[in-house]
Amino acid sequence: MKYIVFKELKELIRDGRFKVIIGISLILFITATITGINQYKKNNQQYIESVSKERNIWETQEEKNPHSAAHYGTYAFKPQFALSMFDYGVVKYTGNSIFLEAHNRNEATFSEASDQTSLARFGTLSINFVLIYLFPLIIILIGYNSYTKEIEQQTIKLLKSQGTHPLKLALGKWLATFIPVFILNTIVFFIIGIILSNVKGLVFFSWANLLTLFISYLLYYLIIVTITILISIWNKSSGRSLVSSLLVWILFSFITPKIATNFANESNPYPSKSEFNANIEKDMENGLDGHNPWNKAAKKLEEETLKKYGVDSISQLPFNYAGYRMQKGEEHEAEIYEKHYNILNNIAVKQTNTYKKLSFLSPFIPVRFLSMDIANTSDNLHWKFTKAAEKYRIEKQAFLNYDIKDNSKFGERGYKMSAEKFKNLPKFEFTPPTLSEILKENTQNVLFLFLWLILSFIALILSSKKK
Amino acid sequence: MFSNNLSYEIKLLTRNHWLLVLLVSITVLFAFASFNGKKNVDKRLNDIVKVQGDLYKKDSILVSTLTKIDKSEEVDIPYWQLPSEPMTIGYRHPRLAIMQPGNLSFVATGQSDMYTHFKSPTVYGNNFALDYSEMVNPIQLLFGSFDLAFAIIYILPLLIIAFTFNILSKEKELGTLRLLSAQPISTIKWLFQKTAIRFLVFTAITLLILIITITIFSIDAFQQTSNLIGLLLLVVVYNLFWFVLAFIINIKINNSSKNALTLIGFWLLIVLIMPATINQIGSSLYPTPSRLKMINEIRLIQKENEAKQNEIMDAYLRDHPEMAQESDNEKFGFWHNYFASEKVMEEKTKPLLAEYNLQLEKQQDLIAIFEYFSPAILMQQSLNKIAGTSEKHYNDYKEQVFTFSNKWRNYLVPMLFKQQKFTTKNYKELPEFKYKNRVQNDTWFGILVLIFISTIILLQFNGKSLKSKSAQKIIN
Repeated sequence: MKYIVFKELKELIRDGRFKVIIGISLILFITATITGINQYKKNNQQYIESVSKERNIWETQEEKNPHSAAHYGTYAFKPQFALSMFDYGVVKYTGNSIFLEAHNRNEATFSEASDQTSLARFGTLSINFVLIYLFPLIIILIGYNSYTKEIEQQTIKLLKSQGTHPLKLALGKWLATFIPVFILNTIVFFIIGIILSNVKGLVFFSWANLLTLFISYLLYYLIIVTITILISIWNKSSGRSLVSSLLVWILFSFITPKIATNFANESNPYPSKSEFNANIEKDMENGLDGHNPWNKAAKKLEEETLKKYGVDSISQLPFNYAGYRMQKGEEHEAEIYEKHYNILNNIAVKQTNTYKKLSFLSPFIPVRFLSMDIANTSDNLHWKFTKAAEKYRIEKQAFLNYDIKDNSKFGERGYKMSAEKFKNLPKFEFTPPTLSEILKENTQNVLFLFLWLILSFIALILSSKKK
Repeated sequence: MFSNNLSYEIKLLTRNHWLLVLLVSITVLFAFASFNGKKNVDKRLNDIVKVQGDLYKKDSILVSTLTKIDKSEEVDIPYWQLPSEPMTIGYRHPRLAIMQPGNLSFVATGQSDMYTHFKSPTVYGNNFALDYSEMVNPIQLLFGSFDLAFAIIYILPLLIIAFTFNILSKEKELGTLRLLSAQPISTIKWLFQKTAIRFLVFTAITLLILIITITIFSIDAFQQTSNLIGLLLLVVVYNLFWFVLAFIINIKINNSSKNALTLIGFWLLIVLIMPATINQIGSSLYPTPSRLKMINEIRLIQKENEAKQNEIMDAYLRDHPEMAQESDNEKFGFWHNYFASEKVMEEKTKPLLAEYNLQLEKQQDLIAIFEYFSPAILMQQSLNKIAGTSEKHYNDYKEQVFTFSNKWRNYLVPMLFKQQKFTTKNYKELPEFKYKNRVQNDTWFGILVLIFISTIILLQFNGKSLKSKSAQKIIN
């Protein structure tokens, strides 16, 4: 078997086509890395600047009524995660700033894609693009004729007459196809590792995440290698084998994801923004359960509070009831928002499940999702970010409303919070999920990848014996 | 000789079932893609019908309340929601600015999955830059949809490659090339005729199926003759481009598997690698101006203006203008100040926004030059334009909504200051929005560019190598 591997590799090194495609891929990889790092640095710089500027704007407010400050609001910005330069994921399609104000839960606005031309929809050259689209092509190019060339050069009989064990032959060919891409992948990740450890100001960079990405891609390549060799076994001519492998590649990486999109959209469509807002408005008017609007609930709250403190009018309460009621009102509205965002989140989860279900048609889908999640550029992460921002918004509201509650008198008009106090608002912090959390959420994807590998490998073993 | 070649070729194609394969695969492909495209358009229409229905319901209540008020009957509505106040109408009863899909919108999803197709601009409280993005799962935007444009741009070339990669090399590999060279026709001419015949057959099939699918999915499209002809011609010249490429590769390489490999290499380059690279390098060289920076700047202006606005009016009412309608007298003063304070902000932010938009436009124009590097990008842009789903259409829609929002304000605000009440009569003459497709149709230019590229490729090789390449060389 050792000889088989050596012979195949030697042949490969001598093949001009192999050199060309490796060269092209490396040039693309270098371009992707350089532009990726530059963009990351620029975006991160912008992010840091925006955060500090916005904080400065908040902290240097003049004294004003806390509720005015709440309307004035502030922004939550999404951090630029280190691995986002590796895989851009859906970052381009989700905004990265959320306006946090009183009464309203806002969406992240200004996605990059909505400012770009439709050229952006063709995909972007990133490191992940090279790894997920082009490296499988290299595998195909190396492996498509591993069996068919023996038939075409009529060396298959020679091999058989020498008593080569068919399984050893298959494993040898398999290994010989895998080794080059393994080396390439290792080099690529090694370079990324070196570069990343030299870039200053990385946010949330973790070697464990990078290593997991490395392993995930290897897993995907193992699947592609096995399928390529299988196709080569099943075909009689190199031409057919090449065309079939390429067709499979197109099916995996283009057609299935697109079909999945149409399926997902068909079975669980998103509401339009105006429909979504109308539903929220309806609940705001009628209350969460449909018959308990806020003004009724507010009355109840008033009664309860009076009872609790044993007084009979709100002016006798030890605090300013107006601020308390405002915060409870805010929380009541937040609950309605949460209900509707949860509905939306459910639709998103269902759509993602549609994609996952179609993973049995294409191992590209699980590896794509896994890669985005590990690089912190997924839809999943965006949801976590919006939820964190909303939590912070409520805290911010409480900070301001309770200032009214504790420091002003009931019915006092023109109360102002001193400028100094605005600095006491805690800063917005967002930490991405840990690797183990990510992997836990991606169990299904990992499982699908292993399933693909095991099944195709079994098929390889079975087919090799028939040859 | 041509007629011989033609009849022989037709016979060949029917006997080896190529015609059937093409017919079936293109039909399935186009039908599935059009079906998906149609679904997207249907969802869009559905959403539009929903909001229209809601508005209709809200309006019928509005009209009945207005009639009651006209007759001076009692109505059970809090003072700040009375529809007889022009500002209530302006803020609580905005009109819909709808962008209806075109007849050919199903052809290309384009940017339509990202943007909203209806907006309700109100008389005040519009954010500094209205956000037009639609609620959508970003994963869907990432993967894109299987529409007709995808089928034409990505998959048709693959079929062409399968149909043409071995025209000449097969003769060589079967050993019939020598026989062929002995015929009274030059091999190159024979190959040219043969490729041309295949091109005609292939294109005829594509056009036929395309026309049938359009008839089934959107019969109204036939009214838009120029767009429809544009679409058909685009498909023809795109096919032409790939056939020319295949013709050249057939002569230059002349080995079946190498031909296939080279052609697929070109396919990859044109539909995948070049667009992605151009996109990445383009946006690195000419980045879109940062929105975060814009937010920072606008916030700074807001902060500076706050003091000025506070001088003009009470902060609470500025945040909740709907509450300021208690007495007519107070109201008059309030709104006067309110619009004055909005205007202060608007005028300060205007240059900033204008500058931002200018920068963005410049960037988009620069990127647009890169379109011509890859026929795939050119096709996508042209198809989006035909479908009415290109970024140009959405930018123009934004502009139209902006104009309408001014019209809306200019109708209602004077009423406020003249202290007029809003009545049923006013309801009937409210301004309405009608979307007009004002984007210039430059499909012709795209078609010409594709023809130009194909001719250049053909001449480049015809001029130099084809003539010097004797039959002997091809045979060996």
